[in-house]
Amino acid sequence: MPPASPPPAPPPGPAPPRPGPNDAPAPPRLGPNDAPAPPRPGPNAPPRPALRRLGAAALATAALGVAHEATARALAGPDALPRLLSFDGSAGSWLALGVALALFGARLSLYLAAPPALAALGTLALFEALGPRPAERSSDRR
Amino acid sequence: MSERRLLRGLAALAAALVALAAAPRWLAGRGARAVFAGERGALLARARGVASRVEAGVGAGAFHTGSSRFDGEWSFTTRQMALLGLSQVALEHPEARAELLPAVRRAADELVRPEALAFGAEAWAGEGGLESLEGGRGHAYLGYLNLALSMLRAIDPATPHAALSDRLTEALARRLDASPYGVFETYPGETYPPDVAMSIGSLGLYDRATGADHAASIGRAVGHFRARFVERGSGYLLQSVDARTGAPRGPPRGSGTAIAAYALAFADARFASELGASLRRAGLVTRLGFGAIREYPAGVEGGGDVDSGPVLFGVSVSATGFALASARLAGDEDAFVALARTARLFGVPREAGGALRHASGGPLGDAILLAMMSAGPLRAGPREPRPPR
Repeated sequence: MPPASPPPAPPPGPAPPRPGPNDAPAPPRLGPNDAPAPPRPGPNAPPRPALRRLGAAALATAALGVAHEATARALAGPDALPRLLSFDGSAGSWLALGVALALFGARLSLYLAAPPALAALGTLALFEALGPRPAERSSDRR
Repeated sequence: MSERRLLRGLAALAAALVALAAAPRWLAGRGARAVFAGERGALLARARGVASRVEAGVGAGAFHTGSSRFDGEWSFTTRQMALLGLSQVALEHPEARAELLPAVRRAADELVRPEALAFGAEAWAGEGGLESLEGGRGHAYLGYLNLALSMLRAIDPATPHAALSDRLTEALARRLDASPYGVFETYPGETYPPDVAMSIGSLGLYDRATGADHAASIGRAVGHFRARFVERGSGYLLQSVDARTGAPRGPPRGSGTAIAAYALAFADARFASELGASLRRAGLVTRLGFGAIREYPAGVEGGGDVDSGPVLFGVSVSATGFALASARLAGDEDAFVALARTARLFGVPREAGGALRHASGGPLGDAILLAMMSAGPLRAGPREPRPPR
């Protein structure tokens, strides 16, 4: 019986195209000292960046609202704000002016700045939630 | 990838713009339409806040303008506006009359005290306004008192101040009739058409409350106002004039025009409506749903003072607050709500125990806002304009 011979090798296919002079260089291969690829996020993974920013903005807005409310209540009773009309340059007047400016700064922020900021961050967070995560994208490529 | 990033950025920008256009106007406009519609709860909360101010006392010591005259004026105006606003709410909601009447009566009692009018006597070298009614002159600030007393006659016909109201009304009518140009001095050498408008309005309201007839005095004075004191271009009212010559002494102002429009509505609804329409046409500035009134018409430069309050970006606190009245009287809900949003943003209202007060306006701000936001009851009907004699 003739000795068994290995099966014939398949005919060679066309060689991959060689990189041309204008092609981008190939990405470097991972070496033994390179950092490993980031792990895929698990169920306990930290929230996405945009969602985290939205949460921080919402918390800041809520804190601003509480501070504004407390200041307004504190000033409403003794009618401290109208007394600014008699500003006389004393330390008390400066303090009252500072508190008033802080109050109106907080008020303008709450009414005019916070809603568009939250809406923009909310939209970014929504896009992030609906789209693939960065880690998933890198694994897909592999 | 870059397309996705661009799409994400555009969507975020669009969301921010939509939120900027919708959220501030909603946040600041809460309750404004209820006030415009005269809903009981909305008006009564404000009325209770003002009534509590009156009960707590609003003497000149409550103000710190640095000028005893202005402190006195502000205390006086606080009581006057409180009386007007509380009465208007009681007239619109008669079931609240019993609750609000004590504060109305207290405000009236305090308004007629010599110390409440001391700022005027001081300006007139010790001559008290109420002590010189017969054959007297000037003291046009008494028009504010008479508008309040005329309103008192309507809501509290048995008031002990009725006799004073009669005498004061006749004295002011005589001064109007005797004046060559339908105006007379508030203080020596100082004549303010908006102050005289209070006197004119007080005659109309007195007539409505008592059945008297001062139509001739009202018509003559309004004729002079139309002919001399309304700027042609803007329709704003001159703030200061010379009583002897009728010549202007200062520019037209939004604050004076707006408070005159409120007062004149009790005497001549047509003229008051024209002034109010001028404010909204030439003075109303709206941004993001917030409205404010220019203190000076286009082309006129000027700063703020005790009449206008602070003037920022050309608009004034007083003109904006006073213009609420003519917007409500004209049924212009959009303008009213826009102005009310600004009042809410900068007034910092706080409600506690069913009473609403504003943290930034103090007693005067609360009283003015109530009177302006509840304007409407006892307004006059239109009169045909008459040429001045």
